[in-house]
Amino acid sequence: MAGSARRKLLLMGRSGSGKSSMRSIIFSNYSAFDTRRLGATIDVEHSHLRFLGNMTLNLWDCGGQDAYMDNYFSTQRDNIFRMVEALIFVFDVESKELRKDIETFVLCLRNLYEFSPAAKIFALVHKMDLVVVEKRQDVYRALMKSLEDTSAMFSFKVQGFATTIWDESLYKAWSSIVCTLIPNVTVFQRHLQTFADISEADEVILFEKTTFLVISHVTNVSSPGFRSDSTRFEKISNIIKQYKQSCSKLRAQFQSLSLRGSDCTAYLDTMTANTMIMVIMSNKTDSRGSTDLLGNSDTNADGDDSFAGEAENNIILANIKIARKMFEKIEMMNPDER
Amino acid sequence: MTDFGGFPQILSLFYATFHPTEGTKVLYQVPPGSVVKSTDSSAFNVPLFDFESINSYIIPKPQLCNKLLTLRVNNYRIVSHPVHIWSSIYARNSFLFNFCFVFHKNADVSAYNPVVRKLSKMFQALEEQNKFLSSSLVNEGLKSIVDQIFEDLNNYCECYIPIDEANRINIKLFPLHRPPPHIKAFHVPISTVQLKAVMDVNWDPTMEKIVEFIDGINSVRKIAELADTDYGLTRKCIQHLMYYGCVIVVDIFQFSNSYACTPDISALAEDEHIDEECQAYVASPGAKKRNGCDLLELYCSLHSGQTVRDWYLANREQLRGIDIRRFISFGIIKGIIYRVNVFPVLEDINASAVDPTDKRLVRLTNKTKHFDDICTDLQISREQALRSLEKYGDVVLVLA
Repeated sequence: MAGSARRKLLLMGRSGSGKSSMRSIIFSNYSAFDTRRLGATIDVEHSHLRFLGNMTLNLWDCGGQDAYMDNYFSTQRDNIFRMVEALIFVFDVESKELRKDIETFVLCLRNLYEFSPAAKIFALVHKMDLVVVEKRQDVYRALMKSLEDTSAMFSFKVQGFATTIWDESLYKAWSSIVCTLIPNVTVFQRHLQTFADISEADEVILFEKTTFLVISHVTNVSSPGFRSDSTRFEKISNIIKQYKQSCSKLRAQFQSLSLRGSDCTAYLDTMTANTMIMVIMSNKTDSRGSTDLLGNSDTNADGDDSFAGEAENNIILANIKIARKMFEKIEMMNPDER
Repeated sequence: MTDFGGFPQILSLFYATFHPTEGTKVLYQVPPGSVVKSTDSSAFNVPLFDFESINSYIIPKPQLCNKLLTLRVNNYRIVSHPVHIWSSIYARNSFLFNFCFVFHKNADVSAYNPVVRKLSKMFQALEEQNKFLSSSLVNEGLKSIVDQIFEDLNNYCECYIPIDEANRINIKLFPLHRPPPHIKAFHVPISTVQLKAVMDVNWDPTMEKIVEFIDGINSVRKIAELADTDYGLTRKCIQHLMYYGCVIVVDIFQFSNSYACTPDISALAEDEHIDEECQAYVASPGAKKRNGCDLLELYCSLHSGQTVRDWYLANREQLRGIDIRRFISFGIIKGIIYRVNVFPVLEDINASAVDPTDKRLVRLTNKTKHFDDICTDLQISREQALRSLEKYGDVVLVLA
């Protein structure tokens, strides 16, 4: 296989800030509730995760206790901070020692500046569910201001996210982070656009199969009055992932999904071995009667509606099948190819 | 008693735990300052080793917990048994702790392994029952326990500390010996300690019966016969005595045996203690002690082609005042001479032509057993055995 890209990610933050919980939800299929039974991370937990065909994520979940932090910045400095692709620093929004947390962040930046100056910096302002809704924006912006200032001192640009394990914001953050690391993400984007155009789809989303992080999405909105929820992608990630987990509890393997609404239809199916694709089409046929989720028209409507829906279903699936080969090739591409 | 140099000293004993925000920390250490800096006036100026460099092994990942863990750091060896208790009553769902014993890197710590294990398991039980360790961060009781274990084990090799009405620490160090070798029926045990003197009413009944027959002359089989005990049990008892170094085992002494020198014969010439011991041991009751040179010459004159009888006849003059059996026993025990065994090997024999009474005998020769073994097994004399075998063809005698 052409050289697989290895991406080392440092996950750091104060003890108990939520690093291991995040990791287990995104990468190990834990539900938010399950994370209650996790123990403290002893020293550094290494996870190797295959992501797509040509990338391996090497996640370093670093225990945040004082004794370990002291080690990371002294004897373990070059082991920890060398060859880092991205730093993900988690801030517990309830932390009583925010100043100290920021100091630790600065120490990380200083070491990265020395050992991995090209590293990308991400800050997660976590446990936002514990802040009253009205205050959330302010809390986030206040912290990010300090972080942006300190990062600028080392010529780093920090990208921030407000997160909590209790909603889809976690998926938004991690999708964004991982996307910046995919070597040929623009190629995915390009081909997904082509697919969307040919299929005449309103929206097409490409997900990684195990984590359900969004790799790429294309929106071809033409219909008037189209109001979209800007957080819909991560919501889909969250919902489908939980649905998958429920299926597996019943010993059933989730394979595909097809949803019919009053004005659009969504198809979710396997694209390649590592990806799933969701295609959203607005309903072309003008159904007189109402249609329920399964595409069954009520008795008043034309029998043709369900037939048309069936045909459309088949076309989409056929399109996906044809596109599959192309996408498999993209996945296996040499990380240096563009 | 086997050569036992004493138990190694514990150089430091410390108790470490995992704090939810601070991580691994040493709560109690004795002597003060031996592991981490201490403000105590009597503390060490500099700790024995750098604790920070090994703290991931003192409170290790869960996969290494609940097992005996030994590590080397610089000139020290640390024996520990980290414990990981999973329970939702603790912050972060777990409680981790470790009692660590520090020794010099070359120390033989085998006697401490069961002690460390036992101590950890006991504290784990105490913690699970009434949160003895985690209930308060400053535990004076635990501090004094750590101090006392350190003092008592180093000074007395045993330790008894009552903790509360139900629990106590009861530790004694025992040397760990190698497992005893297999003993054959034809082996002769010689006691190296006054067995009757160390025996008490709590000893095994078989042991009590056989002790008086352990005289350096009776084979294991004979002892079982004379004491009217089961052979298997007798053998086990002798093995136990061997394990604790109370008896050693030699061959049956017969004048038809042959002996020869081993390379260690030089020990008799070089080591004064062995020389003196020999002189005292081999002298016949009432006779004068012989000169060390004479004894050395006599030992050297033993060779494999000659039976003890022939050797005695050849050296009768020089052997005056020497107890032959003791002379040979001493040589065997000290490893300066060895017994030359005779293995009868029957060249091609016709299996069907063998007399039923001799069948067993013939089968034994095929298994390369020596005469002592065969004769003890069948309870016949060597001449008898040889005569029976010669009926079936040429017998080759291999000396080794």
